[in-house]
Amino acid sequence: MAGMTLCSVCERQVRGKAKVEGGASTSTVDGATTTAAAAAASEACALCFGTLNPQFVARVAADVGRAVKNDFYDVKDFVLSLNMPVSLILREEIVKMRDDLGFAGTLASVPFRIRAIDAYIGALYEATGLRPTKCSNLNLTITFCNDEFLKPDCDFLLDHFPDEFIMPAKKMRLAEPPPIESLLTKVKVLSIASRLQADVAKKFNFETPTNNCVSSFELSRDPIFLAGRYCKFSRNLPQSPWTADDHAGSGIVGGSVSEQVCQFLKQKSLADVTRFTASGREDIDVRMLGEGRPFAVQLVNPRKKLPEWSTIEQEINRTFNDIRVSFLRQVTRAEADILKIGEEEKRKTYTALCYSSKRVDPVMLAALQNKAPLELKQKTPVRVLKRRPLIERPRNIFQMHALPIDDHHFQLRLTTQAGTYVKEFVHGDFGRTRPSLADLIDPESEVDILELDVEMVDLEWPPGNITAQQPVPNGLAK
Amino acid sequence: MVECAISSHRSSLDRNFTRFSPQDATDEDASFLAHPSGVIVVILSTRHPALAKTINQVDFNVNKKKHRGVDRSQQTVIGKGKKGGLQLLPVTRLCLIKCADGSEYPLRAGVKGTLIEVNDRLLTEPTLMQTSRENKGFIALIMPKGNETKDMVNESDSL
Repeated sequence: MAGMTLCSVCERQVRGKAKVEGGASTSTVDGATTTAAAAAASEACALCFGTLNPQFVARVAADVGRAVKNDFYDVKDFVLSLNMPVSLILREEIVKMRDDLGFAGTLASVPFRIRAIDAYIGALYEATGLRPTKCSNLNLTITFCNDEFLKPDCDFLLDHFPDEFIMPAKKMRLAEPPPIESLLTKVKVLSIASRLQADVAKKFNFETPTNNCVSSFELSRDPIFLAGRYCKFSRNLPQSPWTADDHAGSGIVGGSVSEQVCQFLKQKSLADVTRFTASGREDIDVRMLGEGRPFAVQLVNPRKKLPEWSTIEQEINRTFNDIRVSFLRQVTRAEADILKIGEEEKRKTYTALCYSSKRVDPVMLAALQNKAPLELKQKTPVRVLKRRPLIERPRNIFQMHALPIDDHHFQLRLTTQAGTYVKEFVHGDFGRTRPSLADLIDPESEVDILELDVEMVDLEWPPGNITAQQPVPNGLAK
Repeated sequence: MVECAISSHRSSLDRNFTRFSPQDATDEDASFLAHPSGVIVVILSTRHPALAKTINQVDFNVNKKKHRGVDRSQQTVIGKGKKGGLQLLPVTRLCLIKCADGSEYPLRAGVKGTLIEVNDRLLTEPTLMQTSRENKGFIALIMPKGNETKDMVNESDSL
């Protein structure tokens, strides 16, 4: 049985003996001696792969320190995670099964990752000035790679546990099926470890690595989730970025609500990426009034915490004429997910400015109120038919109230089920939405919609909050 | 103030659609309302002779005599890609317009593409084609193959 070469750190911690530099001999597993030259030549280690070597640690810490100095995180602490090479994890598991190695060091039974974190924490604190803790927004993940033993380790395991290395059939059908070594992952090693017996473990050969590990690291701050409600006062502003197959040309567009709000927050927080989600959306020519539509923004890897929410709100509202944000506050990821749940059950309230080809009859308009609630059947509107399947949807109108304006115009206020195409209900969409408003008022007349506003999106948002903190009539500025 | 704003509004149709007719169209050919997203609404042209008569029936089952016709009103399309829709060439007949005086006018698609939907209301109320030509009396919906409208005559400018 060949001896196992260890670095001075592992010698001391695990084997329990001090490694004598330049001495005549050092003891190994079976009494065979290694030469002084070999001992002095390397700090190579079959257990830690050199990752615990103080010079190596210092180098990695210096790299991290440089990255931290060049970035703008306003956090004073961090959480450290280490990813070790698969081969190293395999060895640790095998060592556990061996009682013949004479490991009598005080830290012999301590898991490697604890020894490793211990080795790095001090150096990282010195290099970065950030305090390592168990709980922080900032995450430092250092990954060590060493593929030198991937093949021999795989061969060893294939010999003893061939059933764990069956390539899934789906991968075999690819033009170039991946090599068998790709199945050797940390998870695979840990699952094999439970089946590992001492006799098999004794057959393993602890080769000494000839290369140092390649280290890389990633600094990432936990995402911040913001919730609020937005109002859109322009009839020429899309909610989301303009896409190629939306209808062209109703005017020059300078960004969208989502882009403008996200850009603003991104600049304030120095995040890498921002993601905007809202509870439904309105067309470019439809205003969003009332308290506003619920939305959430995710700030990915923000560098700076944002100042107080009311300050941000005021600044957003001062910056953009046509957008107003209210009720802004921070929420958890789970809370932000609520936005997408139960879309079907939400109710929306609208006001529509309508035109009637025949003279408006106030009696017929008043009668509308009693026709609700009613169910519509809407075929996919012509204007979205390009990118949606052709189906017929039942939708409910819960309330209607019409107000005459002049001989041919009236205002309709209505509350509908989520997903109702209100414009198509008013003008009938070539008769494909039945009944249409014309059908209900006077089938002989044609009714058209001139303007549409969303008055209310019925959702308690931000969650767990009193949504009507400052009731604002019809979206007028504060 | 309100009245000025209101009277300057264009109709939904004018705001969202462009009127076209096929190249070299005859009086008996269809007209189109084209949506910018691509979908085309087929309607009766203002020059069609049937407008002056009474339409008794709109028959979507063309080619009955030869026993190999497809009843366009019976087709169903599936999915975003509108699979199952009849593939049309400009000469493909969409329907047969039968008038009270016995005259029959086949209506050609006028464009290359897929037939998405026909107006089944015309089966029970054929006169809608005359009384509500651009609304409830539309004939069919077509998804053109490519940029078909660029070769057509834009009628909107002349209105």
